[in-house]
Amino acid sequence: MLFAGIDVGAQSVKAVIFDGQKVIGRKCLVTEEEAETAAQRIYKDLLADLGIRPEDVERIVATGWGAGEISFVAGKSSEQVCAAKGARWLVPTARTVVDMGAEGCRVMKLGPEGALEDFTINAKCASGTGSFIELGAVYLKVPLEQMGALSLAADGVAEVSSTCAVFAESVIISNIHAGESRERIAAGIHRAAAARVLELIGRVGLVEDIVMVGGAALNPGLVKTLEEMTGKIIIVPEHPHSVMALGAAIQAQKKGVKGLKSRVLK
Amino acid sequence: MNETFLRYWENRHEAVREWKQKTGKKVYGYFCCLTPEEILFAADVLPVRITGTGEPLQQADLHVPPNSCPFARSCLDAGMSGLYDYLDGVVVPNSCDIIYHMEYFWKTLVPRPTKPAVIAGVDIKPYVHYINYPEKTVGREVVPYYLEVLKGFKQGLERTLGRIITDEDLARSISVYNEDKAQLRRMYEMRKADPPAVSGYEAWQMTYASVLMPKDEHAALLKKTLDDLESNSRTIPEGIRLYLSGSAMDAVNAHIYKVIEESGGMVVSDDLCVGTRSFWYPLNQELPPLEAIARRSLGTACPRSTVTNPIPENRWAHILNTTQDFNLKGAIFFVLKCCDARLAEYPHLRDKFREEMKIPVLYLEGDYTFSGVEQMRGSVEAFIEMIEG
Repeated sequence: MLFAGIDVGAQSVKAVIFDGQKVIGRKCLVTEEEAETAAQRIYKDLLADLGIRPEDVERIVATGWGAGEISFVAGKSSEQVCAAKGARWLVPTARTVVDMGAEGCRVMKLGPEGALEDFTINAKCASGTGSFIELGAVYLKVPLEQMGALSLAADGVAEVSSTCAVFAESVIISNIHAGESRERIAAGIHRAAAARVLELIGRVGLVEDIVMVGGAALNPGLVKTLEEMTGKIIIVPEHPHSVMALGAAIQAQKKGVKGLKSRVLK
Repeated sequence: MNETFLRYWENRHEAVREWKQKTGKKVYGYFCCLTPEEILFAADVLPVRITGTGEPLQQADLHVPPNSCPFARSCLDAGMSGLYDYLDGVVVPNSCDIIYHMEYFWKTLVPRPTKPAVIAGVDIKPYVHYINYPEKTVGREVVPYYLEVLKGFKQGLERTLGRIITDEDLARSISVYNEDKAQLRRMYEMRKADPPAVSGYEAWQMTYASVLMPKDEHAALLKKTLDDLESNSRTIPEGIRLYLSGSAMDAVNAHIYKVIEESGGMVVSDDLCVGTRSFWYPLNQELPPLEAIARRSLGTACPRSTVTNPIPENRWAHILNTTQDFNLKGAIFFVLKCCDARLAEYPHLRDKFREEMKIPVLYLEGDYTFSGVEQMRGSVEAFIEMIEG
């Protein structure tokens, strides 16, 4: 029996097909389309890639920022629950899950048995998110994929404010004018982003093992910085950006997932 | 929902203005549920709670730094822009650090409809009354001290209003207040049922009306509404039973009830100042009336008062009283940013909820805007899904 999870993120849509035992296939699409169109397209493409007929999929669950917009799914599940479920399935010893995407960062705390116990999210602040690092890449004129490597090559760290993404932008520019190396500025940007994540971790309390998921976990510079700042090893599973979609597919195994329509009291 | 309650909910200012025009009586505004409003009611004055608007501020930021309580700043802005021009007086208690400054702000920045009567440099008919509520609310010296404060407040009111407030007036007021408190308690008892007989949002709206309406009218109307609810069965959507603890709950912040209920939750009890803290404990009718009022006011379990440092025992006691038998599955702390009193106690209370009540806690930081509350929907949904497992 097959299950599907679709994660409609702020910048990309991810889909995973899961059979209860293993991941059958996954796909990620960076998109500027509206959620429904993008989700339909990636889902159809994934099924076609795998040679699976739509009727072979028992249930689909959506998660992520745009989950409420998707019409062809059985229900939706929250980002926190899906990230926790996906991470725990991949890393059975996970107790703290850090999920950093383009626009959001959240930290989940799991009990010894894997149940989600607590979580916290970045509120109205972009400085601890993937788009903050992306913004830095624009100013440093390097492709986003190289930001991590650039920061790892630094011989020191330039001071970059972590309190506000917009102010940080002007600090990055000042650093460039002051002749700081791109490597050191990149290291500073990663440090600023990691400082916000550390703050979120502090709110729920750190318990090992720590697993990092979401698109930003693909950035080795960020993971390294977080490891230095926490003094702990951070486990990054393969395909970290599709972990939340996997969590949604895991949730799809449950019957009676919540409908999309909010229950409005009359 | 009763239309009168809804009217206060939809446009409190219009509703109070109309009441004032119809009755020809005076209306005083007050901050905080620890205000001894029974004394105002005894003088035939309608006490109404001052709240803000959640709209962008026009004038207050020039006088109050933007990194202070957004609720208090909004209240002041509303006053400065004339939204409260129907008030005949304002009562400011020494509650939290920002509210007590409202004495000065309201005196100097808010247009006053009446002329001061200054004799030897003293305004003998004050428009703004300050109540020097003690920092610590227990201890041998507290009640005698606070009784003196309330005597002074009563005298100031008597001079301003040109009438004497007798013990009989106070006793009559107390019995009206106790009747309203009893009806509100009854409403909370009905919320212990599963599903509750009244939704969290409805219950809050009816409680909100109690801080804006004359208590006798409110008690009668609430009694009728609850009687009707008892005789007519209707379905309240099922929801995860939650406790709501927060600062400055008014029509702006109360949007959280809607967000919670639409996410599959149901608030069944609370620790709010427009909520259990404003009515849970009746006044003792055996005591001399002013002392009963003083003790009720001192007994308000506001986070701004601590009994012993660093553990606010009275706060936990109130939480125990208002959580027992409600069969709670989780607690939501909805704290306004810059609400220092709330923030200081939060980690302690969070741990007690988790360790002693064994229920999870969600922390939400409010910024006193509708859109800010709306942004919390994702966290609320995740919290409810987390509890459902």
